[in-house]
Amino acid sequence: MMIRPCAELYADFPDDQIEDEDGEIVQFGGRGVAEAIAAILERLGYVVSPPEHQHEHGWDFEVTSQGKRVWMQVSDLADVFILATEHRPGFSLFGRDNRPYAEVLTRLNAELGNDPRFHKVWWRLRNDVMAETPGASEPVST
Amino acid sequence: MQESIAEFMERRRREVEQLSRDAAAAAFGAYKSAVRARERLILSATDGIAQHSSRFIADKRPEPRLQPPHPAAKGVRPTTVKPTQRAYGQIGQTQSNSLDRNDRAKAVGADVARVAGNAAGLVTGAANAAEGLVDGAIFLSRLADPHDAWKSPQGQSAADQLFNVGRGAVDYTSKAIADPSILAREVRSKAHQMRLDLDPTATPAAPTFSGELERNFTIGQNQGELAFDVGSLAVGGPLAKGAGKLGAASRATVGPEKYVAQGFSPTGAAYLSETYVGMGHHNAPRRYRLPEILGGGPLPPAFSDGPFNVLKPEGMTRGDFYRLHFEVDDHFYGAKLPARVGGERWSGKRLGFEKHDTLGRLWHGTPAPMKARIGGSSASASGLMHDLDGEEQ
Repeated sequence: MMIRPCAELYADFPDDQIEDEDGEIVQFGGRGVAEAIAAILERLGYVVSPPEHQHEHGWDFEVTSQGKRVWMQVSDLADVFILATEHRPGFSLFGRDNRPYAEVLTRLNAELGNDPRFHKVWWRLRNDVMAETPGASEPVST
Repeated sequence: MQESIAEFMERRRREVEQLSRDAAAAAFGAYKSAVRARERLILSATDGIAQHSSRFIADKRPEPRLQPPHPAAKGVRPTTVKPTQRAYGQIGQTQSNSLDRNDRAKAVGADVARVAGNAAGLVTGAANAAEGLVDGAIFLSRLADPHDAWKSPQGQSAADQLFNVGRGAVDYTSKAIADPSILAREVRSKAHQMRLDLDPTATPAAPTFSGELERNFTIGQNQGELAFDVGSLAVGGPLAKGAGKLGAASRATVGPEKYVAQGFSPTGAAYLSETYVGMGHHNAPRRYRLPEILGGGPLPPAFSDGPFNVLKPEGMTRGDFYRLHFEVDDHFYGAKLPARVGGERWSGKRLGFEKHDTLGRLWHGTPAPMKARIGGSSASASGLMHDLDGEEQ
């Protein structure tokens, strides 16, 4: 099983980057998208923490699935949002079980496909984020 | 009435005890003054501790006559303590009293002064290491940056500066190879000077009581500073101190032309050429949570947002920091510039930059103070743990 942990999201959301009167960024964009994804995951039954501002990184939050944590971050790169995820299952003597993580991403991808605010979702490996080549339509492949 | 031998011995014993108390008071007074002087001298010059201590003692004496300097006061010292310009023997010279003639009193006072000097030396060593950490952090971070030459004006990169220092060493080495006697003489000279600086038996006792106090205070101070350096070797003290000695790093001035060449608009390029003022790169990511066995929850802010975890090179432009951040942080992909400059996208991938591999991220992403503290051989355990379990495929 191969999991692509990142996605490029081409979406219609208002610009929510906040700048002061001098034009300095005081809050980076991506909050709206992060809250939308968090709401989707909550509807799917996951426990989701409120998105927090992480400056240049954008906004991040945590999803808990079957007792395992999945970290998610949304960054605003002007015409595209980057969704980065990371499985944080904790230490286990029996190795890492990525199935709950794969399930979260797969179910999220299905919901994003049905949400009219998201036009296109390209799943990628970390080092391929923002590559010129097209990404994958699914986060998980066997 | 003539005193008996027993009475004479008792009187001399009381005199020596009094001398010991006087010596302790003088030495600790000199120590306190030295510490105060050190605080002031950080802003101006580093010499003066021994001078200050001698002034303390001299304040209680008539103005002395000048004498030739004591051997231990000359030449290069192994530590940063500068030699006093005054001769040890000059202080109290005009008041040749029983203290000056009493070898036992001088020995007692010298021991106390040397202990006080040890303490002052430890303080000086710690202060120098702290200075070195601050001053050297910038230089080390630039030296560790493979793109420093690219970002710095010609001939002013950290490597160039180090090369210039090294060139002098190479010249010296070449001469030493051509004439090995140079090296032998130098080693003998340095070893001899080190012994003068550190060994109280290597130089003759000063002729006066106060001069002997000062001689031993200075030797004790050199011993103390050396002790700090050796003792802190495992935790980066001398490395930080050495880093400071490499010299203050020059500020790289990068103009907007560089970012225009990368494809940004003139206003976007101007924004990127401004100094970066953001939160920096967190070596141990803010998202990292402590294991349950350690109580869980986020890392303590004092560490997470502290200088040992945050990489934020001083004076770096926004554009250059974004690149550095992209290279060392596996979850920083880019950012949107402010609307006032057009709201353009900065994407490391689209600009052709590459992320470092795990070891590269650990090295280049570790703040200089942390590198100095741990010797640069590895980064924080949390950062390593984060990197090792980060990939999913």
